[in-house]
Amino acid sequence: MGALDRSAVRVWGERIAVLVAGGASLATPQARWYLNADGPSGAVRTGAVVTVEASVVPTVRILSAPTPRALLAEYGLLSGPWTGRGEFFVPPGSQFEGASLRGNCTSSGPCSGACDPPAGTFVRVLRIDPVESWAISGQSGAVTLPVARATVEASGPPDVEVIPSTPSAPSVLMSRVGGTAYAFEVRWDVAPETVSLPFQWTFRATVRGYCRTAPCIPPAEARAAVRVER
Amino acid sequence: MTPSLLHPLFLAAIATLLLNDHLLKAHFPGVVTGKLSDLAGLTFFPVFLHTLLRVAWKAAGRWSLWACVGATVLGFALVKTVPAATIFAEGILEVFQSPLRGRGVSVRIVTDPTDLVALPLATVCLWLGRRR
Repeated sequence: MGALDRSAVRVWGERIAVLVAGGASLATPQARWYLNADGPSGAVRTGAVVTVEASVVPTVRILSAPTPRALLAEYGLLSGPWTGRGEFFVPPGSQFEGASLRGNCTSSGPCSGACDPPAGTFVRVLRIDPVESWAISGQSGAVTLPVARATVEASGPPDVEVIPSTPSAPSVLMSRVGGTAYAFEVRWDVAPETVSLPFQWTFRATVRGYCRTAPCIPPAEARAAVRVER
Repeated sequence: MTPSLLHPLFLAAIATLLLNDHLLKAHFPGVVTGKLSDLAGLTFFPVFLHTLLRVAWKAAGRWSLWACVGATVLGFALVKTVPAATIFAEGILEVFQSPLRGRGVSVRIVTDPTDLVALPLATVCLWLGRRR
């Protein structure tokens, strides 16, 4: 092969590589379909139970300050198989944002068809009933560690919060660690050596539930015990 | 000398991106396949950009390769850390994909700062260029 031929092959090879690289870059994200059933705006005052119907188990979005939204999503709200209908507790002061389904398109790549949900896929909010609710909390002692692991022995998914001793304390990052245990890593959002004054924080966990009838008291098995360790 | 997109490393990165996005992610969803596309994409994308620049404006100098690396790093970091940038990038990709996929295309990019671990790979082309 002459020098000219090799040069032409190289030029064409590079052009093809550019096209493939461009296609790969543009076709990268996997298309998904979404179905949403929005809830009413505003927080519920006394607690509520939302009944949701869906073809498959939905993602239910409940904004519950002060627990970070990501943690709530990780918990999963169901136990047992999905039967087409489910009840979800919205604690007092929380907001039910809605329920949604999503899935990957059946085909992928830039030449696939429009991305519609599969036939028979649905999600809807059937009703929202106000209920009485109970809450049980556990709290750690004062902690000065810049990084610690907080474990909650809880009868259900706990709402968790880190309470600093002073408003000037550095903010705290919290992430869930471990598998099924309710364990969290708590970490200052600054380098410890840059903090001149020691400050304290406490870790609080709250487990909530609901009753259809009054009086509403926590069941005997309800618990929320907090343990903090280095 | 600036590296070519025909370098085996970049060809392997392109192949890895295609394979991972359209096969591996569906069969083995998880952290590894989730990060693999970012690693592969960042490996070849600056050189891809640089090749486009070279074709369009005959800009083939080393400074332009540095600019492409910088643009890749900055763009990727924004998309992975700023939700507004993520939505913007999704919109751009939807525009590009709509003619082929039809209406209702839904592109999903995740705002995930942990993906920034792949950023050093964007500089591989600088290292390769220096060795040649």
